[in-house]
Amino acid sequence: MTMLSERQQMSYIAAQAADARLNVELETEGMTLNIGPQHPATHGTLRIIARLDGEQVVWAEPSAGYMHRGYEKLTEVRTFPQVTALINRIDWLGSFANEVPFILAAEQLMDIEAPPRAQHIRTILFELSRIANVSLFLGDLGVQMGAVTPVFMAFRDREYVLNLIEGATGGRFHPNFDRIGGLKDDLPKGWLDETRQVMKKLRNFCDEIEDLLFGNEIFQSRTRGIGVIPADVARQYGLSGANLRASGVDWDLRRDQSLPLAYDKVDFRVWTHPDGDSWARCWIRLQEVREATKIVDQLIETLPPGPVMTKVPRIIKVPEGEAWVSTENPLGEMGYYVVSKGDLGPFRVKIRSASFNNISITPWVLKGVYVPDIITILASLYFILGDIDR
Amino acid sequence: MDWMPSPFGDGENDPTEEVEEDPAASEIRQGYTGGDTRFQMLARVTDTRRHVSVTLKADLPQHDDGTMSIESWIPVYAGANWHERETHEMFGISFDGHPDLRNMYLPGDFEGYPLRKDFPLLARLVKPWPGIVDVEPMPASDDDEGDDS
Amino acid sequence: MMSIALEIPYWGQSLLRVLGGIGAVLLPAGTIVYLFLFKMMSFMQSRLGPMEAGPYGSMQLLAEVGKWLQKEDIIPENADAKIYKLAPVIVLVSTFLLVVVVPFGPDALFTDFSAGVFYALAIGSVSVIGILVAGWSSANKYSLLGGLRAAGQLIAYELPMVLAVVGVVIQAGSMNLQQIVVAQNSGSIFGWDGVGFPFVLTQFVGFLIFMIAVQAELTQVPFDMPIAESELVSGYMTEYSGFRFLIFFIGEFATAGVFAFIASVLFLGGWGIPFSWFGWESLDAVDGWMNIVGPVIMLTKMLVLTGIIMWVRFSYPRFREDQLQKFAWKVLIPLSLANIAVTAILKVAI
Repeated sequence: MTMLSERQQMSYIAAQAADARLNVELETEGMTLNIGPQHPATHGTLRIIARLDGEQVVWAEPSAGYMHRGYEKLTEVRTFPQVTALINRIDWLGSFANEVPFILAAEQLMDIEAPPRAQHIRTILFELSRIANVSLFLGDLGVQMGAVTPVFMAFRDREYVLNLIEGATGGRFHPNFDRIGGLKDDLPKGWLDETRQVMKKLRNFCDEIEDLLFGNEIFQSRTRGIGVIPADVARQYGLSGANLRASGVDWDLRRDQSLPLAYDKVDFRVWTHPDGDSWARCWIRLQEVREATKIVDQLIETLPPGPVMTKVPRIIKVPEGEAWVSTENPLGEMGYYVVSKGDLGPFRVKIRSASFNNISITPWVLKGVYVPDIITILASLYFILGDIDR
Repeated sequence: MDWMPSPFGDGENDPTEEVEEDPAASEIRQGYTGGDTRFQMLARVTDTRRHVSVTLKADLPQHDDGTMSIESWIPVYAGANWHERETHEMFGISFDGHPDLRNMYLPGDFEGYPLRKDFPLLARLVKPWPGIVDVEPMPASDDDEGDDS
Repeated sequence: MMSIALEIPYWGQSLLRVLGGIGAVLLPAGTIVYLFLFKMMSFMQSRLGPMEAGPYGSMQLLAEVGKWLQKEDIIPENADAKIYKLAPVIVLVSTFLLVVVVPFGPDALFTDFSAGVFYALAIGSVSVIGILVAGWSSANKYSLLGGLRAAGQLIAYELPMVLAVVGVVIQAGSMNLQQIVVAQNSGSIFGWDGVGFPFVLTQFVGFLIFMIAVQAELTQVPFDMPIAESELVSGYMTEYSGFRFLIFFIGEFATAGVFAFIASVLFLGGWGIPFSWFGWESLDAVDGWMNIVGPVIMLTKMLVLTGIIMWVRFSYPRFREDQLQKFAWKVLIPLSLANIAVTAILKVAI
């Protein structure tokens, strides 16, 4: 950016050089390895500086921020609908799920509620984005371990879900469908039947992956007992989502919170696992995909008729106040603290993203593991760079 | 920061109990609305056992040289480490007792604290927001400028 | 020679042998790459693979070779240039050296070496040096890690390979590969010589151990820690590009082919079909046309074995280094030692 002063540019370069010097030093007792920003294993530009002693990690530290886009500053200069378009891109795989907490917070401030049909459809799309996100995780797990085949199956089956989302919203990855007061549009004709078919296919896919990957002895020996995170440490660091449930804590925001989404009308099971190791985290996510398909099936059956948008003024001005809403996103718990001063746009939005906390535990959990286990642990913690760095 | 947490509806003030709570800690700060000082620190903690979440707010007075400081939450919640680092680099609030307060996202020697309201969003200063022309004619106010103080 | 008596001077024979050797290495490499890497892997992953270059993508290999050859030759600044350039050559040369002892027919061989098995196993270890050199001379921490892992892994898996072959040698009574083929094809199982006596039947354990050890020697998944694509971005091969990478690439698949040749000679009966089908009594009685059919049979057996290697490669995740080593030292070596003991006892007893 040419607007940066000379001094700022120089200091930026100096900082990069200092970091580079850290990498080149070969200390006598260990080697500093930079699992750098460009790397096939990190979902994006995460950099982990690890000090190794042979193949064991003595000290590891993630250095995030290569993808910092300044979301919180950007939201201050946009109107509410524009912010919705912006925050789709935080967790770009489970796209619709990013918009929902923000819209719910804005609706809380405006003291309106979306009509039941809109709430239902929001929940359906939310669960579909959870399926899209986590099925990619399942495929990607194989690649991190070295099995190159499951990822293709994952992508193939994820295409069905993305096609569904595209059919309903017009966008595969960034739907931008939620509006304050409801949704942009109703569902197209024939969508519900297609969704039923796709959910069946996805259940088959889950069974296939369970057989191919989870049943593989090598996979099990690579993930069992690796990266154990006990429950109290998990709580201290603010882990959420499948990571927390894998440590045995029974906490699911869909069940434990009452939001204007249709979760109270469906029955689903919250899976937990007593060991906090990588196997538990992976396994729980597999079960969550299955549960999500069942939730979608139930929601399709009970979709109420009606409008999808309440009456909101054309130009939305949200009254003064603060609201916090957090939901159980595919990655964990994502929350928005929206502060409004009666303008067209928010005064301040604090985005509490799940991966930020999930990755903050890496210095603690990566002590004393082998280098291949770093990859396993990171893969099982499952983060998306956009979520860490916003 | 001296605070006595009182979970919703409960009378327990024992600080050592905090270790059992799950921090969905979001430390953010807030501007003029509602706080006596310019900067206010907010934190949100959740108790997974009692299914209770609380948002705590603390006003931060500025010292004579314009800086602010507050005690770190690390002894209680180890996960506050990263949140405090981010808050420090974005707002300039220093945390006493934090072992390693360095920048999280920004490069080493960045000047200024980006999320403060008086730090301009350079992109807007350089070029006006093209979205202005597409929006329906709005009554008087045009909110797409960069400075909101 | 063949039934048409040709007097070829010595230099002509040497030339034929050289050309034959090059063909014997590169042709399998190319076939393996196209058939298994491009097509079989793609079909397993429910995609089609390369379809553009040539009919059904058959010219893809030529396109890839051309692509790599025309790339810029980049040598990292801190790399030790001389050995950096030497490393891929070591790996490829060891493959060529290895194919020299493989018999392709009753007379279609490069050299009739009486200690063929010994030679083959010794030369198989030369490629380890190439990998280590590549890992160290690249001046890259990832390559170094890959090279170190390779050192441990390849040396650990040499032993099961050697020990598995000892069982075959005991059964055949000779270390000469040609004699091993003859012993299999002219042998009989309990008096029935319908299929000869391929050693895979009695040396089944040895065969399995050998195949696993071969998978590890080739650094294929599940033993591909030295390469470990998702961690080390190609391990010891990270810094290589252009034609140097091409040599590594060819070397990888050529070595797979050659090891499969050796496995088919040792366990599956080599170039032969059971002699009893044609009433041949000994090696000299074998007709001349076997010199043409022999290589084809070898190719088929090699493709079957390589297919299995590749199949496992695309299905399994990878072992961690210490699990790999544990497997070699605690499982494979004791098993192969037991195999030798049992073979020896049975050979003497029966």
